[in-house]
Amino acid sequence: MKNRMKELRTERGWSQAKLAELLGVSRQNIIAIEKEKYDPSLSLALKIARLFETSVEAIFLE
Amino acid sequence: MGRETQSFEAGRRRQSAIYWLTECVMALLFLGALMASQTWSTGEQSLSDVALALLPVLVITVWGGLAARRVLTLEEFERRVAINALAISLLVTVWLVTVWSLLAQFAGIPPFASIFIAPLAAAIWQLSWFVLRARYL
Repeated sequence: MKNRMKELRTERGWSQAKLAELLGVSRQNIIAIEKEKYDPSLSLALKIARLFETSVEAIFLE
Repeated sequence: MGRETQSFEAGRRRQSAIYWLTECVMALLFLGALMASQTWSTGEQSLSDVALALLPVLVITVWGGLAARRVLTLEEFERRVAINALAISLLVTVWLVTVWSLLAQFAGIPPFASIFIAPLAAAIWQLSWFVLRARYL
């Protein structure tokens, strides 16, 4: 699934490690999501959306 | 990288190091239990022989419990990789043991000692885990 994670993260000047820490997941998780090789669970997607103060649909695109 | 992030990453690395250390200790305990069973069992079907024969089972049960506990405490991505790797390892182990058994039955190669099935599955699990993780990254 396409997503805007990297774009939103870099806009805020966060590293992958920082984002992983904020979300309480591994850095590998962030790398896999950004490379669009892994789709997060609904709860993680909601957490990501809340962190970036936007909606899930605005981050994860079909 | 900020201090908090570094400490978060360090914590994850520490957990991983503890896990690998535990794996090594359990592998050594398993080998030790096997050697103890082989060395001290008399083959007389006594209660002590049964206890000695089941000693490796005790180690493997604890080992399996620790592995299951670790998988359950992983975050979602790592858990998914671990469970996928476990599924692959079970299929590969069944395939390998079946092939070996057929070759032993019909082609005369030495039979596969069933006590090595669990360590074989564990080794394939770790290898699949490593390969799958690399594929995602």
